[in-house]
Amino acid sequence: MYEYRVGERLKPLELVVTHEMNMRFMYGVQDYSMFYQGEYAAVHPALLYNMSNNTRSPSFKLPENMAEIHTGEETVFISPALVNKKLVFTWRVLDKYLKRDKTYMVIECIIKENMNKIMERKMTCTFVGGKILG
Amino acid sequence: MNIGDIFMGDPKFMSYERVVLFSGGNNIHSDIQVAKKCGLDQTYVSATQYLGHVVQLLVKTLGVRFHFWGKIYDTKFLKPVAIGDTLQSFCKVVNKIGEKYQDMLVFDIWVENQDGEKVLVGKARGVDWD
Repeated sequence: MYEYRVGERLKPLELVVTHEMNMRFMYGVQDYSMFYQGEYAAVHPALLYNMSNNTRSPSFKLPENMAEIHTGEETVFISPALVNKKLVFTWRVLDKYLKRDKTYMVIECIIKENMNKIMERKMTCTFVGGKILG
Repeated sequence: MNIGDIFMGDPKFMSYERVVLFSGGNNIHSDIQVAKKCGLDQTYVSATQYLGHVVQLLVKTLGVRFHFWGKIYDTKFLKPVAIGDTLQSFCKVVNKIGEKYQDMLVFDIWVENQDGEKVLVGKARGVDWD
């Protein structure tokens, strides 16, 4: 991933969030609001965060024994996603730079349900392990 | 809500079970062997997990309408979070912006660990509809 070019897109992810999956993330962050439960439950934002990490793209890859570290974040919540609706996650590399001998990348993720935007993220990350530490 | 008001979430213990529920197994968040192979000294909690805590606090403070054009920005992760840490989220009203949007509030946001160290800092904004 750290070798990707600016402007490059990762393969999109399609996901239908079930109530069970939503509950797993609700327990994970200890948020049991009724907004995320019931027939018209909204998908918990923590689930959207987790699944919109670029590491979730089917085309994401890193050299062996290397990991991506999240260092910065910008998020716009545009409208809630609903459980049992198909969400599409798309990623694009916005920027890449060196700082204190480390490679940083800024990656955009847009989540959509049909034509409706759900969330826009710009996450900054760096890398540990693998050849960079070697 | 007034400038200077501070709101806080409940302290949350980052147990191994919750980390696995959130991040799954066999990765740098939950598996010490995977973490060590990547040059880390231990497993670390995914930052998106405590970003979830911050969103919970902002929704509690502003209501579910935070989901409509609420924004989190300028966020930095200052220190890693280990399994067994206890985290607490905070937000402080620092500004109200624009004549047209009198109720658009700007917050400083941060998350502290059990030692009072900030592990996340940033800003957020959203409309106070009340």
